[in-house]
Amino acid sequence: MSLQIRDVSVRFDSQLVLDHESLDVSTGEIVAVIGPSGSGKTTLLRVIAGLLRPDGGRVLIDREDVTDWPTHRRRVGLVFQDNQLFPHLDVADNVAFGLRMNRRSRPEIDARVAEVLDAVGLADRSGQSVGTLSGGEAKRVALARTLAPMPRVVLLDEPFAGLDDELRTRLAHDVRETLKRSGVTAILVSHDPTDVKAVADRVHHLADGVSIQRMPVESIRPLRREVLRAGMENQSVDFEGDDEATTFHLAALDHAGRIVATSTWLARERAGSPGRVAYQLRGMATAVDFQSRGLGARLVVAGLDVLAERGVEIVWANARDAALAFYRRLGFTVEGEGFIEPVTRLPHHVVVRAVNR
Amino acid sequence: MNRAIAEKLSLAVLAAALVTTACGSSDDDSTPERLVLVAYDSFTPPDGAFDAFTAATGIDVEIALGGDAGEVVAKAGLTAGNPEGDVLWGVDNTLLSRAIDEKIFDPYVSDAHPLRDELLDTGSGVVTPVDFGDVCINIDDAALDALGLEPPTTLDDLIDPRYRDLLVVSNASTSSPGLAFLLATVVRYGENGWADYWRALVENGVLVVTGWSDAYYSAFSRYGGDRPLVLSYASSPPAEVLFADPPLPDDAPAPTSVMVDSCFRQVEFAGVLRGTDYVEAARTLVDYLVSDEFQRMLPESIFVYPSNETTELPESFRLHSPVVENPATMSSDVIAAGRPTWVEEWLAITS
Amino acid sequence: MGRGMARHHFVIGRRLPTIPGLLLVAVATLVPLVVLVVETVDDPRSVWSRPGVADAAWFSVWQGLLSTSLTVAIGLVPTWILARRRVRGRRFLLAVFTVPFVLPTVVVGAAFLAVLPTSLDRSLLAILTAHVFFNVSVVLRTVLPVWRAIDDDLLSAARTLGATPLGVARRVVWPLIRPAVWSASALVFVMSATSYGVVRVLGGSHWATIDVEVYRRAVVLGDLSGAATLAATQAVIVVVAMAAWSRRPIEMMRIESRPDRRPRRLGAEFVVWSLAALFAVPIVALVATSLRSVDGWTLDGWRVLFGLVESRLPEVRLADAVRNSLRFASVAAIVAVPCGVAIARVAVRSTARWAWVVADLPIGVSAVAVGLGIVVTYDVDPIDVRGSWWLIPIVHASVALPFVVRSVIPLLRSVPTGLSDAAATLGAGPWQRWRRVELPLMRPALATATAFSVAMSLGEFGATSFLTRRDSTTLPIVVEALLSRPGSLSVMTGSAAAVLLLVITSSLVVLVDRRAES
Repeated sequence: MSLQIRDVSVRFDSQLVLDHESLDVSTGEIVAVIGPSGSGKTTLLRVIAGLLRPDGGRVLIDREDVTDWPTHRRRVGLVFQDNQLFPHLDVADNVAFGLRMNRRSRPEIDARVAEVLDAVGLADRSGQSVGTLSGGEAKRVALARTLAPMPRVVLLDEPFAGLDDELRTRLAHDVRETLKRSGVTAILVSHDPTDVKAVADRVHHLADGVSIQRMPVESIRPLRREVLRAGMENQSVDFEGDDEATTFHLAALDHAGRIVATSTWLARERAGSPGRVAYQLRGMATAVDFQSRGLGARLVVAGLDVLAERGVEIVWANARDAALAFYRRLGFTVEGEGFIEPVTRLPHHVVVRAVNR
Repeated sequence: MNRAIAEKLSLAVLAAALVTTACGSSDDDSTPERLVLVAYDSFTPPDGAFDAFTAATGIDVEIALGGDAGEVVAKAGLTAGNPEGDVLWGVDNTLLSRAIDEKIFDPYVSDAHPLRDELLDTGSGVVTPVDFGDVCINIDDAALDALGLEPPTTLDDLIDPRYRDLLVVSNASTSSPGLAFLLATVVRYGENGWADYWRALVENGVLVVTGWSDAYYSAFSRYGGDRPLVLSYASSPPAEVLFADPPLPDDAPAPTSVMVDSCFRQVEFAGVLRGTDYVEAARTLVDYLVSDEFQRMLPESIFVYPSNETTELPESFRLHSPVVENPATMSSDVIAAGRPTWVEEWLAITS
Repeated sequence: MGRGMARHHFVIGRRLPTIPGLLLVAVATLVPLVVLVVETVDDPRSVWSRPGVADAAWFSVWQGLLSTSLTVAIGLVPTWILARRRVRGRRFLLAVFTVPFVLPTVVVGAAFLAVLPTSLDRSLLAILTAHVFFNVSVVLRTVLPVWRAIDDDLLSAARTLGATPLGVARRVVWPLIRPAVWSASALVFVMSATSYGVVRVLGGSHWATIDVEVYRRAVVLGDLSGAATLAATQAVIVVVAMAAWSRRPIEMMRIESRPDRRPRRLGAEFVVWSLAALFAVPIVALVATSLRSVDGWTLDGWRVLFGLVESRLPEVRLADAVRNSLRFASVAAIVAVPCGVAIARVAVRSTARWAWVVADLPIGVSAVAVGLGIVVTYDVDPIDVRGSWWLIPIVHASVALPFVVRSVIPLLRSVPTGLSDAAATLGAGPWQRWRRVELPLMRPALATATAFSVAMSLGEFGATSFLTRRDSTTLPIVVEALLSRPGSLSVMTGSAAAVLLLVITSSLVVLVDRRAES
């Protein structure tokens, strides 16, 4: 019951929600998929379950290509974020639903239902109406229902959302135990990394196919021109110090190798702190169709790592006023008076940050 | 608590007393301010039809409409002795017997104006004949011509294979013209012959529909149907001229004509309702209803023929639909006696 | 005043608002029926052996069942499509399917006669088609909101558990919509079985429901005893059936809208638009009839209707008829809305079925019986009000009441009761709570109730034509009068008046549905 996702892409209207995503999960493994809201985690689950056809890529279960299979044949269970218990059926009938679809015999069904309810600790609730269950109980019933028909893969969508802390920890432990005991392969998604450490064997970041690399300055010039000097064809996109030995350019590349974000880091002392080793961050740009994805932040974080290795103390930048909030979020502070940058004629401020914090 | 109740009670009693005195009926036969004339929905005399009456007597006439003729009579039967109005217009010979049995009327036959000979004594001494009309087969002349057929002239023609599938009539059990046509065949073919005639009609493809509207506007070839022979009224051809669109001059030839042999005479009556407070005044109104002044307005407003002998027909009627000479007739008691069985048998034959 | 006293007052105070509604039904429907029965019935059991009676009863039942099956089967198609697919022109489609309910039978009858071909079994086919036409609205209004409310993910869950698409429909969707379908069926059955206008106009010579038989007995045959017996029997059966059938009050919601992210399928769009086109055919035929004279197309019928052109048609006092119709409609609404809303409130708050049952009574009582009953009940001085103009809107209000209640209940359900309690804790007395919290929140309900009452009053024909009117003709009566008279101009003008009536009633319903959404 291994699961492989190969280069799955999903596009909603013009938005690329999943971009050539790949993931391997071995039999019995529990993998957590992490990413901020909107990064396509739930979409990935729906593609695996067959509720959504991807625009590209394949899904393989036990090395079988199930990408064109309808949902009801895949034997992939999905525990929904809001449980989706059938309101017209009681607890036992909910749990029995998948077994009935597989046309198991009555005694088989009853036995299995009892077994599963016991495993989640709700053996005494089998006749209860689902409307009267508490949050935690409903989640357990949803889990039981998903596990009862012995699916090959179990998917859990934000299983701990909306539960209080104590319940969370308890549930996380119970979920892991139950999944491990049944030996089923599982993927759970969450936007909160702390939850999943208790449950998952490993964590996969939804990278949307983007990687951060050092690039030569020639490669990043086109993006600079496109974003920073838009409408100013006559202006040069070379920055002073671009080709010095200590300068490096970090760029984000999509799966096809196209540069979609760039940043330039050069050794330059800062006027207000003489004598301290400082680098200036400049030339940050993100391609239009990759904006709002946190690429800028990732570049900064990656750059800070490099600077830390080099023993740099301070990093600073001339930030456009419109980007001040971005820098603040990354731990920069604004210093001094604002000024008008001569080339773009936009208002700027100086922002500063210590590299090691 | 008790005082409040007592106050309220006395107020109520006072109010009731005032109301009763205010609504108190005046003495019999004193001159009322207005009379109520009860009639069926399609009783639509032109505006000012009663002005002459009001001028002469000082009494206003208020028209109260409520349903078709059958419904009006049914209600009158229920309220006999305590009627909704003073005079009733619109009992016809098929309903008269029932109306008399239920004692709806205070007997009065007006002799204030000369009536047509054949109508005298039709009112059984209880009501006054005010108009008559004939239910006849109407013919779409152009359509028949296009089919290369002569218009049928006798009832026997209708069962001739030449006229197969060309006739549409309405239901005798619920529609007044339908019943009239059935009665015409009973008159023409007699008690023992009419059923065979109808079987022959059915053989020859007669179409029976719900009501007059259905027959005339859906099945009649003049309005897009496929039947050039329709059961309607003798007054329909003039209506076709008067309400033609685009408008026709009054002396234009009518697009439809009447098959005289099929006609059945319907007579309508008016009478004083029993229990009215103003018997004398009501009788004066009935007199007015058969006066020439009033009768003159009838043909072109409600499409009936005047019962007043001296009243002249308007041009449209003279040209397109003169009075039928020898229609089939049947007195109201004979109708009342035979109708249930005839209708039942008719239903069986035509179903 | 001890605590016991206060509680006693509270309970009475709760039931008090329903009294006007019950009084309305009593005055306009129940009392006339009872008095008619008392005055005319003798030897009730013999009625059933009279010719045609047993047939009519049997026809009512089997035709009712057939009409219901057809209506539900056909009605569930647009319901499904509009519930689970995104469709262009959704609002328009909803209007097409739901407006027919308030259309007057005289308009629909004329329209159908214009459309159906003259063949032998035309009458039964016409009756069934007309019933479907009118009552699909009930199915849509009752089932659609429930169906829409089913979360897409619930169905996805079923699919992940191995349910095929058919399995999902059978095991998840159907159980969830079944109560609504059952409720809708009950109402459709009752309305089809007690159908009067449709069967009388389209029924041909053979077919008669009990309501039509009541008419025949009373008016054509003069058998008032039989008529009254039948009317009373039908009323009792309907009330008992409605009370037993609906465990929860049937709701007829206005159609709400939510942002639509459902998939759009071309096939589904085609199906629902084709069905809508079929529904529009009688209307289009009616419009065509109003424009077609013997030798071509013309606007003359419309010109005559609006008095732009002189004609000899005496009935065309359109201004009078419209004025009267509107006058009656406003009075009917003024009476029906408070009564209906009050009963709906009680129905929402408690399970008081009796109020509900009585409010449903007008559905089962024949219009003919009501007309006759009124004539024989309110005939004693000083309350001889026969012929009074206001009797008509009172009857209209009573006829509209059951539907006003149904359309208002779901809106009242969605009013959060907590707000009123919160206001109470802030010191607001009952009257203030009513005025400042409940009334504003009830505004959509009031708007819907008003639109329903006005629309039904405008289109009412059966009872209105039976009641004696002094100088007050209404639009439906004008239509009927014009269509009963030969001549090209008559039929064109009559059809034009019918179209006008249709436009007015449809606009009302559509307008209110829109406003209630925003």
